Amino acid sequence: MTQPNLTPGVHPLDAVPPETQEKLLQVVMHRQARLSLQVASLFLIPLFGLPLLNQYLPDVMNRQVLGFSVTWLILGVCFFPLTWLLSAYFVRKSDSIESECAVTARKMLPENIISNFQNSDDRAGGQE
Amino acid sequence: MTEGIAAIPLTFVILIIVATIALGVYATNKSKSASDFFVAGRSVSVFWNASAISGEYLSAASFMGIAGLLMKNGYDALWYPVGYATGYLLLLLFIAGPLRRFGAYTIPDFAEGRFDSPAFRKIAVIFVLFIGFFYTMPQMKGAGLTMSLILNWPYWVGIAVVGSVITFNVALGGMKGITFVQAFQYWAKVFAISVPIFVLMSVYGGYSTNLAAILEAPKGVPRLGSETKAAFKGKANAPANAVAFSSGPVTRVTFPTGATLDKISTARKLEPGEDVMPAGALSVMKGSLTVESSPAGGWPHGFIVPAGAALVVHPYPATRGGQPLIKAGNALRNAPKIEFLNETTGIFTAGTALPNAASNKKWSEPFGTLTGGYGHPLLYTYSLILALVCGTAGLPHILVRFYTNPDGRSAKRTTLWVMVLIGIFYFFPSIWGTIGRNVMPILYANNLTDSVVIKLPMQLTQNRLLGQILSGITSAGAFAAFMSTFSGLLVSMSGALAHDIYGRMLRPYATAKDRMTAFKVAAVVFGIVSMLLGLLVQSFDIAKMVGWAFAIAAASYFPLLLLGAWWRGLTKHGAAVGMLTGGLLSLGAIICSMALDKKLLLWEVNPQIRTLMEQPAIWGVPLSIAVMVIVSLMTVKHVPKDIATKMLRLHAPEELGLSKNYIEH
Repeated sequence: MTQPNLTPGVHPLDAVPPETQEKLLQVVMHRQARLSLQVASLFLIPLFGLPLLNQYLPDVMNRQVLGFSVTWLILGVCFFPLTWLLSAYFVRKSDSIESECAVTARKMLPENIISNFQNSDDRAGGQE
Repeated sequence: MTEGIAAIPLTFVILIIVATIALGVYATNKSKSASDFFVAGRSVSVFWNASAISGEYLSAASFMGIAGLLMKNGYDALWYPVGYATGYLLLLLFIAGPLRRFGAYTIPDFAEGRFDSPAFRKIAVIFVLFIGFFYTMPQMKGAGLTMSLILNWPYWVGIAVVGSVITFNVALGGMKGITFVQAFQYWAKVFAISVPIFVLMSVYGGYSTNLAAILEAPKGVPRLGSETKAAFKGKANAPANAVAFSSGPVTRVTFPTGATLDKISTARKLEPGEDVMPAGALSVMKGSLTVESSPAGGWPHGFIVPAGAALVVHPYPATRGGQPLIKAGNALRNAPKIEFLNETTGIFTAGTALPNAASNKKWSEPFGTLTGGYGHPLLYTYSLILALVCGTAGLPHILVRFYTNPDGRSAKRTTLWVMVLIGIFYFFPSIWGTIGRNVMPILYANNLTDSVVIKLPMQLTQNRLLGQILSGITSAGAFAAFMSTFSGLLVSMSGALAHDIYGRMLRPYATAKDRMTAFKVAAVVFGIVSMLLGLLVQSFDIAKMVGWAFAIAAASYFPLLLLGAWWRGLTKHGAAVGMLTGGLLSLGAIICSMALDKKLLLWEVNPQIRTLMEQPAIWGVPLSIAVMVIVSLMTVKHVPKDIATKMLRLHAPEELGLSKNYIEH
């Protein structure tokens, strides 16, 4: 194991002109951020909404269904599968965004820089 | 109550301990280099890594604590499993991928790499220790409690034994050993929480049957089917020595060896102007003869019930100035509450309505005893939710595991699998709590609801052997729970010390071998400190304590990671000040709240503030974020010059090859 490389500024990305870096960042961050926020709201709205429903519609929420009360059924049973669905959707979607971004971004980077990364990865690998 | 040693559960517990050590030793032989030692060589497949993360995450709080808290408080306690499980979604959406791509071992690595600031790393390390110690306390309580139930050992012996075994295992194997052990323990825990409850449901009826019985009798309270003995705690374990009697029917408890009543008060806190308890609310009887009857306001402190006598408790309609006290159209009632001075045994007559148990309505509906204790249930609920969902993303021992994924994509896949695995698990503790309420209500009387998963199977009097075996399975599961979580915490705390404090600050040129020695020494020291802390917290609910660790994580690491990964304007000053403000104030509020519960502090606190002290996330998280943003905007010139590069490393897809490990090895 070599000493960790902590010196700032040795990353091969430094060779990429700042304007290109900014553009690249736009490409990779924005769509991911939008997706994350969309899925988060689908989860946070029911999560934070439930106490309000409990507070203001107690008659509905405490009604019995299938041996549970409505609110117990939602919180104690249905919430887990909801998060599974949301996260499965997110992982699929996020992977496809990544692949598309990779294609776009590759076009923006000069060829020599990509090969530069690959070389540096090889070097890092060779040190072990 | 079990007397003596429960041989079958003990066998199961020994089996799980032996299996854990054997697996740890086996795996250690395969772990050679230092990077293996710290993060398992990043060579673990998605499924096994997910099993290992789940195994590490499902702590004593999940295994024993949620069932106990649900049995005690009903609906409100459901927020805990939901929060523990769904917090991973936020982790998945905002943190797992970027953090793994950035390629650092620990949160302090991230802190340093993101802000180019070794000084900030020191601050970040502190919270690994704060959160870690807070999280180990409930694990220790679980260990001590389980051992006292199945072996009749004193509380501290269980802590010493379990603590030593795990400390030894960690000092030996580091994390590679642990990945295998943790994965094995996940499956052991799922088996242990699910199989016994299916057997019990075949005897006592299913989840919905039991719940429906509770929902259909809103005014009911749990009652004893037969005469039952209960062991009460003494003042040393306050507040667990309190017995708040039911305000419904009369209760009769016989004390074969007598009892000293340290304090007598009322079960429901007096409303403003409410009269003190009337004369005769308590009486001492020998057989059918009344020996002594209490004066108005109850007996003075230190009243002694003679050996063999019974204490009879008469609930009464509450009055104000002699007139019935009406609130929201209902005539209020009240009943005495007593606190024992010493450990005491009492025998309840058959049909007794259990003390310390809320009515079915209060138990099964939202805003009950857990959140409503200080009169601000909605505020409490929101603060709790925020702590749990944000805290998951800030737990140091969980985050370090994400580095065992080969890349950001597999980090996301792993998180998805973790959510499925722990979601399956978290479905079961609520069933235990619900059936426990109907089948074993005596646990309310002596504040032992946390032990329901161990005790409930022993109720199977029709088939004692089966009951013992099932209890053995759950005991082993509980052991797996504190072993895995405690070892994960020890690894992350010792790793922080060896890797960050020793390897970076004290001796930057220490060899890998020196660091491994430092790791081992740190593991032993932290193991001992954790055991000592565990001795202090016997009276607190396991799940609640874990909730507090989450609240601290939510107000310190969560904002750091969220803003650090998504907002380029975050400076080291902003991050450090925000993390310290939110984290330390939350920590302080929680410690004060614990001291108030323990009656070490005797402040009169406004109920709203008391709620905010017990559940600080609702102000702690926004405060931390706000301070980070404001201070960052004030120190804008300290934004690292290569911020675009850093953001790219966090977010660029791996195919581009832009991400390089921050730590090369």
